[in-house]
This record gives sequence, structure tokens and C-alpha cells, in this order.
Amino acid sequence: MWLKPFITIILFYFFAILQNSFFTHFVFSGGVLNLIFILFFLFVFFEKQKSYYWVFFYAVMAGLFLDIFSYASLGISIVLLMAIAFLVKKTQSLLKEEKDDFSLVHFALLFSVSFILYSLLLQTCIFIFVVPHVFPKFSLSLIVEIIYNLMFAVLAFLICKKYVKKINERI
Amino acid sequence: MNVSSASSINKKKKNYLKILSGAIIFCIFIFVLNIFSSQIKNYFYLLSSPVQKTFFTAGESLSGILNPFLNIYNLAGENENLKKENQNLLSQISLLQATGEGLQASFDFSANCQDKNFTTVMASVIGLDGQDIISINKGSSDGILEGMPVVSQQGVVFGKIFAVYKNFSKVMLISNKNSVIDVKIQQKTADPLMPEINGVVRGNGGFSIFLDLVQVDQEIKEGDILVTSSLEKVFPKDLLVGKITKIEKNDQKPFQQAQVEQFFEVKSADNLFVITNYKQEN
Repeated sequence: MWLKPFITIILFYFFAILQNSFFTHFVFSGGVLNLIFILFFLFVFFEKQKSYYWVFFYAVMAGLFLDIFSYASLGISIVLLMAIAFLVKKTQSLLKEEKDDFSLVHFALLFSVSFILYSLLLQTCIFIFVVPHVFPKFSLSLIVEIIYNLMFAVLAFLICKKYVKKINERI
Repeated sequence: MNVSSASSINKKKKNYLKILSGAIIFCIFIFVLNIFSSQIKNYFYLLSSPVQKTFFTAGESLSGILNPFLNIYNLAGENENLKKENQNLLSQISLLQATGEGLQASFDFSANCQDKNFTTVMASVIGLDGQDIISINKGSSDGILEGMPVVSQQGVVFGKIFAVYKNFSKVMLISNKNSVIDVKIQQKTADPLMPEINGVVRGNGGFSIFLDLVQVDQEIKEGDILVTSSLEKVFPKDLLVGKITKIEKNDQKPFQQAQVEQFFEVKSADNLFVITNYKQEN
């Protein structure tokens, strides 16, 4: 019972460290890899419909680690990720196809929209609560960042999908 | 009112109560987190610092190996630029030798520190935030305070201390969108009779900066060097900021802007220096 949350916390923590140390050397045109967001989105996307407690747990853990390793106040990312997670689950239930529960197109679309939402809302919150200086806007570096993150997310999605399919076949 | 509709109203009421109590508990949780924010962040830093440093060094080595392959298409252009830059530097050397102002153009930071009695704390970069913020391994226990300038050994400005924790600090790079610093422009053909040209360097995000607020009638050229002017009393004067790469002049605007190639390089910055007594000196 405790194995799943324990592994989830360890994974988020490990990815947070990787993101803030190893991948800081792989910044392309201002685009930074957000491994915690990718992991959070994968967890939420592959989670069963109506498992709201788990979705809440993923949002709290991912948001907490994102806030700890950034200069934002604790709680901003938790609230934003919670909102995004519930939106994703709601959209997924509307988009669900009969043949394929987890379509790549749906994943890519939802991921991109969620990532843009999170980035812009986070910048707005930082503008309001932390440094009221420059109002956030859609920039070239954000586009590069989406593409960069999407590449990794799609790769992880394909691996996870295979794994989820195997589990489903066994069941 | 029948029994089934009454029970459904009761269910709805219970659900609302559940959501409301959940929201209240969540708000208290966030509030408590923020009371202990500094301690929580510092604790996680202490816990993960050794692993983070190891991964940071590993990433540095790997990017050093991969960068030549990733930039192979830019090598020809870069070579051409370096040749031009070399020629420019040679002409500048001869100019400085001729005018006897070689000492003025010297930006050796250690010498600068000795001259101005600056006290510095050496720190290592341990991480990077996506918003042009870096973490360094020195904090309030090392005498670091918010607003202190952070420079490299060569006297290149990186930014200023933005948040301080007990054992580490966050540095807002000059490329952060919230960063604005006063600069003066050092022209290639410096004429001592010409008035000093001042402007500001703003952060553009994604490790890029640009020059702003230079009056239209003032002549600036590509290749001119930007140094700090110390007007805002955050950075000591004559620290290196960047080099003008493209001027954007518009007659309809009262000020001209320019694209700037920044001198700071986060990837290759092993050690940084925090000037701890600049404000007191001024």
C-alpha cells in the first residue's frame, strides 16, 4: 500500500535533483527541461479516471518539489498543478476513444496546452507575489521550451504506454 | 418532499462539506509550508547538495563532450567571427598602447578588489532555475545578504543575490527578465573629450540581454563594450557586462536599443565571487 506513494516521492525527488543539476547544462535557446512536470503529467495521464486522490497526491508532490527548487513561494506550483491535473482528467474523459485509451495525439496536445498554461500562470503568480516587475508574455524561449519538453515527454509516453499495455494484457 | 429527494440533498450537503473542509485543510497546509519555507528549502538543499554537485559536474563534462558535435554547423561562422574579433582586439591593443590608457582597460578582478578593498566570498554554482536564477553553495552563515553583487574571477557581472538561505543562495542573473542594470559604453575609438554614453541593460530571459535607454543622438557601434556604471549602487563600476552585436535604431523612438552578447557563461562558471562589502564602501 505504501510502496506506490513512496516510489512516487523518490522519483519526483530524483528528477528534481537531475533537473536542477545535470540538465542545467543542456539549455537550448533559453529552453529548460522540466522533468518534474513531464513525470507529473505522465502519472496524471495514465492514472485511472476518478482516482482523484492520486491525482491530488501527484500534484502536491510535483508542486512541492518544483517550488522547493525554485524561488517561487511554496504552494504556487501545487495549486497550479492541481488545477491542471483536474482539467486534464476532465478533458481525457471527454476525448476518450473506444479503441485507444491513451492516444499519442491526445497526449501531445494535452501536454503542450498544460505546459503553456503552467508556464504562463507560474510567471503571472511570480509577477504578483514575488517580483512585480515584468508582466509575463508568450516568448520564443517558451516555444523552444515546449518543443524541447515535448520531445522528452513523447519518448517517455511511448515507453509508459508499452508498460501500461502489458499490465492491462495480464489483467 | 419524498424520502429519496431528501437523502440526495443530504448527500450533496455532505459532499459540499467534504470539499469545503478539504479546501480549508489545504489552505492551512500551504500557510504552514510558507511559515517554514526558508527552513524547508535549506533542509532540502543540505540533503541533496552532495548528489546535486555530482550530477552538476557530470552534466558539465557531458555537455563539454557533446557541444562540439551540436555546434558543428556554427563552426565556420564562429571561426570567421573570431578572426574579425582578433583583428579588432589587435587594433584596440595598438590604440591603447598609443594613448597610454592600457591600465584603464584592465579588468583584472583580483587587482580591482585590492584597489577598492572589496571583501569577497568564493562560491560554486550548484544548480539553475529555469527563470535565469542560479543557486550557489554559500548562504547567510557565510555573511551573504540580499542584493550583493556576484561576479566572476575575470570581473564579469553575473547578477545579484536574490534570496538567501542559511547554507545557500539564489542569484538573479542579469539576463532575468526582472533585472535592470546601469551601464556605460566603452567605445573602440575612445576619445577623452567625448561625453560618457550611458544606458541600461535589461534581461531578456533565456540567458540573453539587451541594451536600452541610449539617446538617439549618441553614437554607439557594434563591438562596443558595456561595463557597469555603478549609478544604482548595486554593482561596483567597470565590471564587464557584454558586447554590442546589433544596433536597433528607430527615429520615432526617443531611445535606441541594441542586441548584446553577454560575457557571463553559466556552463563554464565553476567559481563565482560575492562582493560582501560593496554597499558599505559606498
